[in-house]
Amino acid sequence: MIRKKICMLGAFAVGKTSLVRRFVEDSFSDRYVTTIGVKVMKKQLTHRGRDVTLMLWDLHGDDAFQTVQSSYLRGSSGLLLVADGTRAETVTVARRLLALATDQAELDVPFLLLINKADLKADWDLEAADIDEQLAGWTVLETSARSGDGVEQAFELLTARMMERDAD
Amino acid sequence: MPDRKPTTAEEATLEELRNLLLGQERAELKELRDVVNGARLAPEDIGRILPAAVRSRAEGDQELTAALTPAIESAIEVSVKRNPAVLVDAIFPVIGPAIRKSIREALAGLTETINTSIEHSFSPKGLRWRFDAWRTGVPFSEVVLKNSIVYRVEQAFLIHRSTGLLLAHATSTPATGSDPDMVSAMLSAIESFVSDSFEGHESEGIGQVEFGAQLLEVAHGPTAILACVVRGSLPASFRTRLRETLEDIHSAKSDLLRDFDGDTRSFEDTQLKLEQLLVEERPKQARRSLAVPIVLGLGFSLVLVLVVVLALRSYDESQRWQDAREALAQEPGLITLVEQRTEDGYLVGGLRDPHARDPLDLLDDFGIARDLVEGRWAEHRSDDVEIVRRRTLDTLALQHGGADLHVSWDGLDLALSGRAPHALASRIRDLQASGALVGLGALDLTDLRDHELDTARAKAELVRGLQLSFAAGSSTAPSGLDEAAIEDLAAYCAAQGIDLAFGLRFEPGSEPGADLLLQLQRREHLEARLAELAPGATLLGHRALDPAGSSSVRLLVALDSKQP
Repeated sequence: MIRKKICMLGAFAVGKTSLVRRFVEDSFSDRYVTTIGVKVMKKQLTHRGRDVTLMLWDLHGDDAFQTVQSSYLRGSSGLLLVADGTRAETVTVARRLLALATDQAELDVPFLLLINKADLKADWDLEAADIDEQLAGWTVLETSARSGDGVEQAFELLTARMMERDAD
Repeated sequence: MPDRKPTTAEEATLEELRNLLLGQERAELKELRDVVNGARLAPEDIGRILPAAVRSRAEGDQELTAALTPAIESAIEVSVKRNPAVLVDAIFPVIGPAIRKSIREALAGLTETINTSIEHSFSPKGLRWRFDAWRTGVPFSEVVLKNSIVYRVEQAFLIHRSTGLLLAHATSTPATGSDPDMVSAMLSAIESFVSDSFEGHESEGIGQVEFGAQLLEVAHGPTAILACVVRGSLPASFRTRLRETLEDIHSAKSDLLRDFDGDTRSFEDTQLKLEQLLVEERPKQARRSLAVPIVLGLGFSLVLVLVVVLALRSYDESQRWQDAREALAQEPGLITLVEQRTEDGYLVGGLRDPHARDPLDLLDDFGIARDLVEGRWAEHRSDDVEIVRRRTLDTLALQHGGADLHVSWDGLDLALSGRAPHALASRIRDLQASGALVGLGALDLTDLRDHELDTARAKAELVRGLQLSFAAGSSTAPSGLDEAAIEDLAAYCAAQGIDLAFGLRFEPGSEPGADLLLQLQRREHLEARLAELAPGATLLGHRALDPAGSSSVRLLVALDSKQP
């Protein structure tokens, strides 16, 4: 059994929790979230014939400061950064959070950027050019927590990246 | 080279030649030789290569460690002997927190006990415990402790510290509510939260979380956390055990824990260690403590009853013996000369009138069994009134009295009154006459009526004085002989055993021609007739005295000649 800790990072209301809900089969009640600022969920999947359990830590950052408690990041094997396609500034927040994870928590792990709310793409104020420009070298996926599009693929891709990292 | 030793001059020349030919090389060669021989191995050279050398050797195998261990051990020993302060200062940062932690846990255990104690002080359970403490003489605190330390370790989690990932899990309750992975992650999150919120040190963590009747007991190692879900009240000893288990795991898996990449297969063998933590301690049921007092109580009661019974019996026995002795002394006809308790019973003896009561019967009345008593009695005749009376009645065969016979005593004087059958009345008179009634005073029979005799007398009156007259010159068939009355009297007297006697008295007369022979014939005739009519009767009279010449004869009757 392989177990991996993954942290979900993103600005307020980008749909992190919804994404995870789409993906997971088990979660703690919401009241823990307000207490300690983290929601832990679990997802089991199979990667190349091996059982992998993902422990998803959905971190609720303070939106005003875009910070999270770095201790929650400790021990993560992968990161999912989430932004809201209808709010371009959330991409900036995601970048800032990644920097925080890298600097404060000294993480050097695979990560993906998920641009959520793909179902509202007509309303996006984010151009493909912006993404290419801002996020050179990042793996960016479009997801929709509402329709479920891209969600499974996102988690599977991250799992694959983490497993590859272990194999190295 | 020749064997001859070179002279000094030759030597100097040769040396010069060598220097000319090999000067540079010789210097280098010497330098190298010195290095090889160690003469010029400077400490700084060793110092330069030593760390690398140690590191390189240590990577290979454990030989360096093995080689250094004794030296280091003895070095520490010497250091401590020489100046303990140095070492104390060195390890103080380690020892300090360890001691503090140990004290903290000890205090936590104490607090737990005190809390339980206070909690139960005035509850019904507390009062019962107080009673138990009072009953058994054990301090109350120990009773509380004994009853309180009841717990069950339901789950054990081995959690990787930095990732919060579950490494191993054991449970004694298969249907646990929450997912162990989630519990591990949340616990880790909570620890981080608490640690960040209260600016705690990284190495510290949550020791204990209480939730209702359950408890989460957590031990922290540098790279792993061992947490147990406990129901009930956990003894402090379990914390030690938890920590020891964690230390074991750390020492066995230190590398795996440090380089953990999420693969938990390497920790599968720790499962057993976790399962060993799933202990359970139930309170000692009150069965034993309840049974013991009951048995003791019953036993005590039994002994008490036994003692009381024995005491009462003993008292009763001696009391009865005392009473029996008094009774023996007062019993008429008995003169007790010996009365004593023997090893296996009693010995009584003395003089006893045959009409006195059996002493064994008397003792039996007092509950002294016959087979316990040995009696030694000699016969004697008692003058005791009671015995005399008893003897008299016994002799008279009047023990039971009679329906119409009244016995009345005045001292030793006896008066019998009423009706008695002739046989009895006759026997009484016979005994009175014979003097067989020893010790008896006067015997008054005035009012004793012999009914049969009276009847016989009445019948006799019909016969007595009958005037029998012979015809002149006849010696047979006299007139006046009431044969029926005579027969009746005779039959009655024979039936009742009353002596009957007849007499014939010739009346003086002057019958012409009546001679002595005729008179004799007349007597014989009458006697024969009477013998016929009354076969058992006696004939009285003297023929010779009969006056001659008399034709008239009077019949005389006597009843019971013994009567006065």
